Amino acid sequence: MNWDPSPEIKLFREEVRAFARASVPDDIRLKFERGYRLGRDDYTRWYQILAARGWSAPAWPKEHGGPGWSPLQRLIFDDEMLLAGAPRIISAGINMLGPVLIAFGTEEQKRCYLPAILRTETWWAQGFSEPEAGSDLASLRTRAVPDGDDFIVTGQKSWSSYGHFSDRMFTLVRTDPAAKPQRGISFLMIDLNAPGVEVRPVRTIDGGTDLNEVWLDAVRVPRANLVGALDDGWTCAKYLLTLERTTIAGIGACKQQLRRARMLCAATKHGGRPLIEHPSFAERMALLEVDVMALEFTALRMLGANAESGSGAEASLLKIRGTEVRQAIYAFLLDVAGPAAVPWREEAMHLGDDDPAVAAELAPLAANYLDSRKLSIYGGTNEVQRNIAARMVLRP
Amino acid sequence: MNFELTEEQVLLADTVERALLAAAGSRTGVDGEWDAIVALGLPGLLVDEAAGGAGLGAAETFLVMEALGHAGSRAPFLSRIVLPCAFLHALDPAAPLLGRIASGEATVVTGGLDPADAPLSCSDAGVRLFGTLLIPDGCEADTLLLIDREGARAFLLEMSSHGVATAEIERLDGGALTRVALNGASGELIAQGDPVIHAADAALMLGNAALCAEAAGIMRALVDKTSAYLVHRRQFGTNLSSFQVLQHRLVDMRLHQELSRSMAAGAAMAVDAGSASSPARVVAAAKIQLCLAGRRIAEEAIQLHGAIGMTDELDVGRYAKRLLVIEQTLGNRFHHLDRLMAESEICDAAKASERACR
Repeated sequence: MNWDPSPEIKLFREEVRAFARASVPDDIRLKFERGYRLGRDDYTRWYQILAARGWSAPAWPKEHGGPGWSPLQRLIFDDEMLLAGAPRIISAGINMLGPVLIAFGTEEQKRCYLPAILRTETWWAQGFSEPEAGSDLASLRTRAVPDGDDFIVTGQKSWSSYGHFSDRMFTLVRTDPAAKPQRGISFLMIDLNAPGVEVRPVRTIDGGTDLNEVWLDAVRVPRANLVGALDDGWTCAKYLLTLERTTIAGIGACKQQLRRARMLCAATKHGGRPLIEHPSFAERMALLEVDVMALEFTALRMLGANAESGSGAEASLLKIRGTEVRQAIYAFLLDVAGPAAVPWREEAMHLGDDDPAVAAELAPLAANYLDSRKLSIYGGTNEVQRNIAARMVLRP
Repeated sequence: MNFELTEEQVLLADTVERALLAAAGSRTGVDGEWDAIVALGLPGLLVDEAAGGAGLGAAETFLVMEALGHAGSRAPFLSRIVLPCAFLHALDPAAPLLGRIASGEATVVTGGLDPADAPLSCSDAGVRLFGTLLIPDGCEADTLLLIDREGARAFLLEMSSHGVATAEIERLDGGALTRVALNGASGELIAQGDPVIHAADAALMLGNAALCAEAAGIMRALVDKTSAYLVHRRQFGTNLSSFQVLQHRLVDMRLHQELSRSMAAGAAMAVDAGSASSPARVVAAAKIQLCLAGRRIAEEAIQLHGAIGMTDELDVGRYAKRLLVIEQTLGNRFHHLDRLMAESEICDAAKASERACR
């Protein structure tokens, strides 16, 4: 038990911090820190800066162009990047497809796709959920029927994040309808520009359009786009669930939003006094600090423990708590905005809006709060996470 | 931060746990547990090796206290070892009394350290003491280490000396409080001024970190017991653990127990690391976390046990009551919330608004 990190880790943090502070473009940082909407160009520009440094895919091994970092290093990277105002890595190509290809892809697939993902030349969307297959993913019905060297894919995918600006989509499709639900599923990559594909953005409660429906009408997909064995796509899906033990808690995001709350509490006045001088705000601020500290210590503790010593429920517990704490901070920020949350103008979510009615820092907080409600729903709802954790935690 | 234990620390935790288990088996109660603690040389845990102790710190205190908490022990390790040793060590690591505590010759308890203690009054150039104190586990102590925070003075006095009247009071958790009435008792002034304030802060910090560790051990026991109960208890023709509503509540108990354990360990590490880790801030945050999670877990443990959880026979209630006492010892969560707000950056409004304008 030791508070101080090793000299190597200290040095690593300093290196990441120096790079982050020097490298995030001002306009992107401002958009991110203010909670404005970011577009494909913003993300691409930033990820390409990271790629030039060799840091665009923190979780990838060295041999595939990643930095080969330990879980602790990845946590520190996430922390320092967010505190420097750098947008998180939301790319499904980097976070999901890359690791799946590295684990299950052919040499040809790795050579063909990984470099373009690393350099963010291709944007990938995730196509897992369907209208009738949400938490119960194994009940998905999108069909892929073999036809010569191709599959003919027909069905509908839902909640595909960033699908509207993606080039391709990786999906789970049913290839054997006769098999048990989880057995007849395959992992397939689909070109979103192919004939028969239609992407329809879905407007969400925060006014954004990051979520999409993807309609697939007899789309011809080469067999070469199959990842892993036929009918064995569930293995890839399960693998994805176990990947992110480290950054799943979103500690960097919690700290960054807490800092935002602290600054806004000092800058925003109620009854002539800064909010932080009001006991009710000061107390909630302090209690949120306790929550974030407990979350961070727990992530560091679970990270250090080797897999055998844990109950196996760690990733689920961190996901549940990390999202709860972040949502609590966003809810607090909404209270900090107070009446400034009421005017609803899409312009207020973009740089350069100079409507004096509401302070620019406060205007996005209602949308940010509404957007934060997704945290306990995506990546396996917190209820599904509790089901998973219960299996490990309930022991005689 | 590195939460992993060294081999020696693993050994220490195992040894203490086994010894407490054996003591519990022998049905000798608190005395048996205390004998086990003495037999393991734990009274010297915080005393320098040169003075006959083990020269260890907050991390090892965390391990011992966590084990005591888990075992549901009422052995007075905090009041007789952690607090007096932390205070005396901060004053002078070579103080002869430390060696005597380590060897078991001296039994010392502290008074006046807890923020809830009423202030003392003194006369005759400060050697005649007046006041009333409630001291945990004071009955068998031979020496009282009195800290007069307002006057920044520390005294030693014999419990048997003239002007000291003691009475035993039962504690909420079944332990013992000693009501000590000082009526002109004469004490030996051992320190005054800043060193006393510094030593009191050090003792309060280590003491609170130790209480957090004990609470973390108790919470682990409560969650384990509740988990086992849900698995074994059958109703409606099935195990209670098959009901999702109960599964989710147990997962939340486990979650808050894990958060609490991390905070208790983090507080111990911060105390060991010293000022660079802002230990005052971490310890205050840890105490708040442990108080809030302690209530939550104890209440859930009682609820999920159903009516049997309300019985005095089941040890869930004993653990719950110990958590309530821990809450109120060395500053409750309101006290620590005030401290945290004072320590935290959040009050540094100037700095925050400067950042906001960047």
